[in-house]
Amino acid sequence: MPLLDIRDLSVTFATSTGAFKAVDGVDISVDAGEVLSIVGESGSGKSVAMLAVMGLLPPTATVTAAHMEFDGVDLKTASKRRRREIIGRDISMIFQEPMSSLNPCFTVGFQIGEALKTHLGLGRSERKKRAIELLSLVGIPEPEKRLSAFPHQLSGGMSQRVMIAMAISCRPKLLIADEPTTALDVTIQAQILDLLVDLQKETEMGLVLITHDMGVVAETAQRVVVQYAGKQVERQDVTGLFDAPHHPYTAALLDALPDRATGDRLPAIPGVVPGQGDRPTGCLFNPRCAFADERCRTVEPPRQPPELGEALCHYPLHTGEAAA
Amino acid sequence: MTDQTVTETAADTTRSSRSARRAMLKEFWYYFSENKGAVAGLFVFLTLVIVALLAPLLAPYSPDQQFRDSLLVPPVWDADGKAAFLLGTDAVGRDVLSRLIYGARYSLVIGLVVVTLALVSGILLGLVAGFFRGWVDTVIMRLMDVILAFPSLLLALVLVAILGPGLRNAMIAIALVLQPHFVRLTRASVLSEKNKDYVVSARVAGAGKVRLMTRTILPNCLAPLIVQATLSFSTAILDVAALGFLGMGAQPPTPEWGTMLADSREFITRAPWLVTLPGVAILVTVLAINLVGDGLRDTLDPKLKRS
Amino acid sequence: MTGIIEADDVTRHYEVGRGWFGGSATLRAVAGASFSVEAGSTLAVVGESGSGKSTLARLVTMIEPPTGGRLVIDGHTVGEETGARSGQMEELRRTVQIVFQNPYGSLNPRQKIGTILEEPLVINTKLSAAQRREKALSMLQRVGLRPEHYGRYPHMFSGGQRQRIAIARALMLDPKILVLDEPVSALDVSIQAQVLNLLADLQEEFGLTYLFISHDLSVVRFVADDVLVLYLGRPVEITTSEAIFQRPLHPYSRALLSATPVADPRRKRQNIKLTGEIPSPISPPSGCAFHPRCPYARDVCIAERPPLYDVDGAQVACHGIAQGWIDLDADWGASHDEVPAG
Repeated sequence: MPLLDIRDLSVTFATSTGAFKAVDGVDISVDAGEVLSIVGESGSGKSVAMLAVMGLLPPTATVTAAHMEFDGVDLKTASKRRRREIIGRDISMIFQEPMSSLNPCFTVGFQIGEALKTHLGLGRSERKKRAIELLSLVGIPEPEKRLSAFPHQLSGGMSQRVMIAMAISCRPKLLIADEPTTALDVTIQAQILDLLVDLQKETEMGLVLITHDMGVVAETAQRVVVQYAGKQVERQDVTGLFDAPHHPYTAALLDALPDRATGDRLPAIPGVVPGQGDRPTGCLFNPRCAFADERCRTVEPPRQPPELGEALCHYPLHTGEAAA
Repeated sequence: MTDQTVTETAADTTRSSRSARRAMLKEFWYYFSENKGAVAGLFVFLTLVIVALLAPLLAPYSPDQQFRDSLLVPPVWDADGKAAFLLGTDAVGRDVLSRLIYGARYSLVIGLVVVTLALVSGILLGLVAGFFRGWVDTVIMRLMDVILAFPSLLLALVLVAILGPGLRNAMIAIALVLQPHFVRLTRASVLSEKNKDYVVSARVAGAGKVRLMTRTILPNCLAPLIVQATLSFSTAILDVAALGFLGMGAQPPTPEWGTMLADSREFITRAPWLVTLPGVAILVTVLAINLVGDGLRDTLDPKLKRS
Repeated sequence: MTGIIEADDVTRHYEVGRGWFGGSATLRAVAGASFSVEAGSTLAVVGESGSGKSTLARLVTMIEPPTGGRLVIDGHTVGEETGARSGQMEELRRTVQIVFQNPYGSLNPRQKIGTILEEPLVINTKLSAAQRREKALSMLQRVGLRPEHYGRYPHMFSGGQRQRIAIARALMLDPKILVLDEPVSALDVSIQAQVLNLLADLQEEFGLTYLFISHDLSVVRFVADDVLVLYLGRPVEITTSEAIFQRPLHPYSRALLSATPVADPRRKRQNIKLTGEIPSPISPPSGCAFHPRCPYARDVCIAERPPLYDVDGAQVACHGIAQGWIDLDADWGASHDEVPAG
């Protein structure tokens, strides 16, 4: 049984110009000890789905799901109190901007201690001991000294390490990392990704990595979900996805990467991700797709079988299959 | 490109620019109209403007005309009221309604003049302080701090005492007292805008200092200034009325609301309407303008805008 | 052959206060950079935050004057030609334009696209309103936007479109050099490719010289002819784009390349790991600024700052490479040899 199992999750926002479906019919399942990556461009709703699970969306959002279960607990029927117990202790989350995720008014030690006090009910000296342990676990030098540091005294990389320390302080079963390295330099990004993957292996927790960076996906994920305009267009394991993408969007996205370029121009995807007002009929990708025909423009595409990457497409691609 | 297509695209661009402006206005009105209080305030304020503009037509009498045979007549709803004087008359027999209607003119002019004076000088000083920094900034800002250190009405009183009482001097004094708020607001906005990339781009394009200050930076600082100007409008009316009440503002027989209050002070028990009515006029005007100001703040301040 | 940009030991220092009683300290944002860019080519400046790459962009764009050294742009020395010859300085300004990283901050939100594009012409030329409009419209079309966009405001455009507008504005004065300060790092992959293609087209069409500032090596590989790797305000390696990806020399270049994620799940992950973070440019380490993080560092690296040595056609500031005690091929494993040529 998967650790987190979500079927048919949709999130709709009420905006000044009408309802906007940011996430549409998303299925997510994560096993313990697995790294799942959700990849997509801005506007794909990749963060919104996980925020919905965490219950962190604003009141303008309406969340619906056919099934929502974490570690045997049905999140749909669980009381608010029970949900709060699970979220923050068994599921925790880290965000893109480490600098603004920490409260600038309190010391690092106090902020880590707070989580320990709320969820584990540890005493003062125990909290301090555990905080030092956590800081050294995430590779912060001189952890005793850092406990009394304020967030503005830390660099971006250090702040993200502190955020990770706080996130794993209650030994969560699932860690959701929302663009955890986007604001960091490459050498620091490599350190943080290493840290996340090492921690995930050690503690056997599930890790959901939300990112826009295909390079990060290739280097860390085991399974990948590609999201486009609120829908999951492809679901595959990582090698399969990079060797033989079945959805034209995945294929085009990979081709547009400068590190895969072969000529002196990049095969760019024309147009932009559809917004609230200009969602096309049929397949959402059809206006930008090189293979689209009349059926794509009118009929919503079906979900293909797993051997075709569960692609949401009328005509899934078979290119590159020989290599896979 | 043929001539025809050139003109077509030209027409296209003007049309699209017009529709763009209309779209922005529409969005502005969408957010503004969500605030019912602000809309009500705007309605009251517009009514006041119309009343002020049409005062000679609307007022039954001249504000200075004295009816010697009807002194201190109570308003019409009182048992002793006369239908000829809807809101009664004062101690020398002048129609209160007419005086209030003409008084609206004074209040609006006062608000307009004071805010314009304070706004223009405040923006100028704030721009210079924020743009040049260094000693210029220090001198200007310390001067503003000194002004702000005085209780505003006290400072206005001192200034009027020096300049001599009268509506014009009262307005200058109030403008001077209000101006530091504009200076600080402008300076703060300039500081935050100054280092944005679009300003640097304009510099790279060769824009001079004056152009950078007025064309590039200033338009982006206006939103908080408009809000502050609206709120200062009511403060100005209130302060000038207060000066009038203390005998340092508009001098009798000017039908200025604050002065009217002062004139009727001694009749407060005998003829309470004489004090109440100008007071209510001031209250309603100030309240309406403040509501509009709050609505503008919610609409124009992107930090508060819901997204 | 002299390039269109010639920098000779250019420095840019800032005095920073240290609170009330700390006095001031010197921040060496650019601590001494020498390089040359040939007309019509692209030099990519690569570095992490704090490496001084954005300051370098501001120096070349003449937004700030250098505090030391000599910077020659298009045959004119920056900073010298003031006073009586300030007209020439104005002329020089027009030859270098800049495109910023954040397309949301670089366009004036209160101006229409037409006004934004025409502003440089209003300031610098005597063109009539109709001529300016015509030029703006044709430039809009050139960067892939439509004439009806002329009268709209920036907030009505997506990030990619805004970046096109920013590029169009930079080209309005027919500059010879375009400084691109992380022009695509705020954009999505599919949009990034569109903008990179546009930049390549424009370079061909107008014979532009690009100074391309970036932290993303995969983008650099695609756009650059030459690469300058910057660390704490000094170039540590200057070489061709091919060479830096095939066989980077400086340990920092290698670490940077190795840390850059590649969209290939079969690639062996990072064989060179960097520990620690980039030190503060207020108190840079002695000798070679990279020595606290360098796995090969010896005493000489702590004592003596390495100059740029010529090694295998590249310039590299490393004692170990110059003296031969770093084995270039030992750690640079097989996984990197099979990288396809860009």
